Amino acid sequence: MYFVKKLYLPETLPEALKILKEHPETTILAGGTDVLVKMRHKRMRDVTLLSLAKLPLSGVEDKGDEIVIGPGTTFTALAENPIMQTRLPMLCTAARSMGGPQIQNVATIGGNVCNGATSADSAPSLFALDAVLTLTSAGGDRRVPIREFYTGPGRVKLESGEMLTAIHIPAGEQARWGGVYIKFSTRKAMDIAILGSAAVCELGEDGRVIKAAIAMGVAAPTPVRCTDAEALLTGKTPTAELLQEAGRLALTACSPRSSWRATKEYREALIQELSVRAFQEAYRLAGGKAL
Amino acid sequence: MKKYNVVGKSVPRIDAWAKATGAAKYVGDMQRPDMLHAKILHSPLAHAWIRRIDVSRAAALPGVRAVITYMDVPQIPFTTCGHPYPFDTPKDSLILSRHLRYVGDPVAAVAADTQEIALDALELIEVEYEELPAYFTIDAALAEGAVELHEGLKNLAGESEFEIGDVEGAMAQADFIIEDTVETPIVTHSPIEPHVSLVELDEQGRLVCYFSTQVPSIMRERLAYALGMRMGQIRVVKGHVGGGFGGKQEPIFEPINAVLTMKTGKPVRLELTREECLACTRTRHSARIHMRTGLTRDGKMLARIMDIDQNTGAYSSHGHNVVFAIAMAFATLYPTPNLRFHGRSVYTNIPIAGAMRAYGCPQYAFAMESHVEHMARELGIDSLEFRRKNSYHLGDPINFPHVSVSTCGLQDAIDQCEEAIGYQAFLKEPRSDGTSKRGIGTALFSYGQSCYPHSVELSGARVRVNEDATATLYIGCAEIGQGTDTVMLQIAAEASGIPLADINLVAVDTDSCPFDPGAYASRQTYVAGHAVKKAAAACKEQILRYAVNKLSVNYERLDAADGWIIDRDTDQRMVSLKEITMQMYYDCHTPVTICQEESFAPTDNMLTFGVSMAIVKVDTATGKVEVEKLVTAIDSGRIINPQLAMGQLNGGNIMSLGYGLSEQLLIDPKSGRVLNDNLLDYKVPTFADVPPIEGYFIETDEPSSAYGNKSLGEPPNIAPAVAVRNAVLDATGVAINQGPLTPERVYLALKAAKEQEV
Amino acid sequence: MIEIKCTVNGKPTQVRIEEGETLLDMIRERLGLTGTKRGCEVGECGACTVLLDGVPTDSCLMLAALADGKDILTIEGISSGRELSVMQQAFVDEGAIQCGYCTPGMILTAHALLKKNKNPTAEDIKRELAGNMCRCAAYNQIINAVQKAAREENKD
Repeated sequence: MYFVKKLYLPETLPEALKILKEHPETTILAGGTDVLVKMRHKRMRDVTLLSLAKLPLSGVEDKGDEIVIGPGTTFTALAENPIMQTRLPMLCTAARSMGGPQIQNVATIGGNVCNGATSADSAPSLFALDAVLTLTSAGGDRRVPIREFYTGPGRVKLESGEMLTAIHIPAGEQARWGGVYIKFSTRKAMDIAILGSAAVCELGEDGRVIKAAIAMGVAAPTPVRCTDAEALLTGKTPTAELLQEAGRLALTACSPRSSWRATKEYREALIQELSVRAFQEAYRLAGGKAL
Repeated sequence: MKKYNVVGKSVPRIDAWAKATGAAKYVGDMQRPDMLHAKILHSPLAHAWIRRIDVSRAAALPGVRAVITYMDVPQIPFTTCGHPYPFDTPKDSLILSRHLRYVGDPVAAVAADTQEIALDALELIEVEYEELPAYFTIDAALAEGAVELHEGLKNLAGESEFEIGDVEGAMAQADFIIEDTVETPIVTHSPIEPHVSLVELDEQGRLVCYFSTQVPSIMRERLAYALGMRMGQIRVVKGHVGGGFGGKQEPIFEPINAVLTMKTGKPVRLELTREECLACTRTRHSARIHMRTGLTRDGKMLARIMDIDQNTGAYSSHGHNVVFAIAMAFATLYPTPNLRFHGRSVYTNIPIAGAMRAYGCPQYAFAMESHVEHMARELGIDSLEFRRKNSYHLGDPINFPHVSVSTCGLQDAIDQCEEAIGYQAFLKEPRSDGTSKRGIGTALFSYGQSCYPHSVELSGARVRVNEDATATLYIGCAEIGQGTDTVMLQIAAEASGIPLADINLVAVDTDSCPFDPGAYASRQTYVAGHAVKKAAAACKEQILRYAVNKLSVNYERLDAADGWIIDRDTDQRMVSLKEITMQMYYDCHTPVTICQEESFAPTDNMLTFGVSMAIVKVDTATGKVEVEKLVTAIDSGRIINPQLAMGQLNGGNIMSLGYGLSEQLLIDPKSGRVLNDNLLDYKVPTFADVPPIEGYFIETDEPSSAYGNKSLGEPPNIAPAVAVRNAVLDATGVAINQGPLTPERVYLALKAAKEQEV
Repeated sequence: MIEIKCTVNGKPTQVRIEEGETLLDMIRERLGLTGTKRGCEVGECGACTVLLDGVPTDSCLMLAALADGKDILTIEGISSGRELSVMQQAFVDEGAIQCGYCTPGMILTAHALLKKNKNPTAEDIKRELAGNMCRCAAYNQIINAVQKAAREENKD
């Protein structure tokens, strides 16, 4: 039993935004798999909830130059979506890696993002894919790149009265493109990432890297992009040595901390190794040779 | 081996229908119209004295029916140890105490109309604590000047030693001396059903206790002791239990519930949360084990020394009894003429360690089989050959009182495992593929049949045959998921000649069932099985003797099977049992009831043997270990129910993989608080983590047991963890002497080894 | 208190609930369907799994209010009388039940899996049932049971 003062179940977006405006203390309830756990642990009282259950916020749309994901899309829906499977399989991998099936069946990608956790399984991929978020309030929409959205552990740039209404992923050339997510955890299911590593690679016709994106979860208080490593790889034809160097440079963007879940030393080793592995595989999927 | 009708068959579990349909009522499923809900206030400090406690605000909260503290419970020191009348364990516990010794120790308890009100009330209890020095490690608790957790005990819950032969003399003659220190983690049982009890008063005012427990009879005895009551005033009823694994082998907070019930006069349910189950019920001891072994050049063990310190936490619970169990395994699996053993159980301010599946032997084996691997490698002998050479063979002397071995399938088990896992072929396969390295590892194990001679062993059983030759079996032993009820019915059917489907079961109600200490030590089929066989056979004999007159044949010619009296000479059915039993009850002049109670108390202990082998793949860049295959072969004597037995083998093996790879209860070194009191961070193996497992039973025919059977529930939980550890050593060349082999631990060990090379 | 309307095990049901009540509480305490088990209350064990519109869901992490208008299937609704469903029978036959506490959730998840995938491989089963923990670790027997049930159902 949770102490819910009021549960709103709006059926339209304007209705939802009005409630958010009038009751700024409202907590948005998407799948509930994070919010309810938090409410239980803290025995939070007098909580006002706004459920997204009845809002038309789920689904995936291919708009040609971008793919738009409704934030209310569950991880299962994401993983089983044909557009995602062909265009962005790395997000399907991420969706399948999160919790277990029961959690994936209700947890949403929007909730995962707005929770602000550096361990969010969708985050490294969304970072690597340069996702842009539409945040909507009664006053209108604004767009924020996901890289600017995370501001600290459990903190995101969501103003009072605002909610996430769309996740845009620029869809580039599909030929010579590869994207990969690797979740590293002790168990194969029902686990939290010790480190999450995503990479995107796009190759030019000459086989050089046109675009390199490497993103990490649990490597810093927020998910991060490893820009120094990316810069090193861009414009080059990867070799084993170059990748090793990129792995070392991946560390410059990261500031892992020691916790009882893993030490800084270990996380740093994983950052180096898994950034390389993810990029190597993305490179191979883009048509590069196995290194 | 002799063929039986019911024994040896995979009879479906008798509770399968109820469990498959959700009809099975566990204690937490029971409702009473006026039932109250209990919650416990736990100590936030690892070591403290309650200077002042004020419950008035909590008690005044509407819906609160009782609030109790140490002032409201009998201050009778007792031990929670779930053995039959444990004389030898320190009486260091109280139902509620003013002296708090770990984060989680109960401070007070509330019974209220709802759980929410009870939780609200806890927040209104005002406590002023005087913080005391707290120790979380063995060394800190034993350091000079450390404050005693329990007065007069010097922070030792037990200490014992023995020596056989001339250890120093043998060491002096050894060609090699190998030495190792191994550390094992704290782990928890984590049954999916949380600890739960429902206690109410009957019309006579007696306490009726519905417990999720492995030890109904012991619970009654311990409860009576702690409450200062007569046992006749307490009735304990056990229904379905959602797993125990040793964690439900003693009273934990049940006595608190009994006090709340007596105080309110109403039924009270106390259901722990998952967090409470993990942080303040019971654990498996962590241990530091030092070993030294002297060997001849050709690899024969001359002398062995083992020194073990285990961290028993805030209260003794099963405490030092676990060390006694370790001593037995130490003395027997590798027969060695000269042995020295020393063990201590140390009090610290961490959660209480108690009994857990295989009672000390997982810790012992993790150390000993690491040590054995070290010996084989140091001497350059194939580790399987080395184990064959040194491990127990039938006829070898046994250096332990009251242990005798008349059946031993160990060497056959090793052969079976070697073949099933493809050991010889694996040795020739390529091992390394870039950062990925493969290896194979072995570990042996042995285990007893009961607690004898360390503690009393006794089981009773009663069979009542009805007028129409249906029957009821009354037992005191505890089904907790392993299949005991089904196995006992198989034995009763086999020994009585009454079809299994015609026998009902009453288990366990202390008002009507015979004494039996319960489910632990893998003892039930061995000890209680014997009692059931005797009681069922006694009924059969009574019926057959009556039939002698009716049939005008010699008693020796008669037998019973499947509901009929059989002519042994011709194997023909002569008359149905029902026809005879009806006459017995309704004979107008000499009627007689058919009800027999028997008991069994072993006077010796036998050994179960086996081996596990694992193939692993180690990702040397991340330290991640993947088990590709696990094979276990075990001599558990004759198997009564192959399907249930395979369930135990698989389940024990997988639990051991958790012990070896992912499970560890982490204690904050500053506060003593459990850090990972949830199933996300306390990493029990999930479906996705389970490797292919092959199990083999090397069936021997143990003459001292009811049907040739030996122990089975715990032994499969001993070896896989260390087999995996040895496989990682085989793969990487690095010996990791601390469990579990989490990716980080493996990575850091490989890194340290690499740095040492440079 | 609010009232919701849903279908529980095939029966249209109206229930008065608190807004903060979980679906697990509603099913167990109000409807008395105790086959749905309480294990961890935070979605880490799967013992409380029910099928919500056919989808395996941790009822501990779902507000009952959100089940309004939904179809709820609990273990009690999967068969009737003494008769077992194909999946339940397969669990019994393959020795996939031990302490039984995870069994209802496990059977429901497996039941939903077969609706999606008629011939699941061992890997499919391990992935789809990974949210249901079994500490007795009858995992390999459960794989056998699900595959046996699949064979039985494909016979028709």
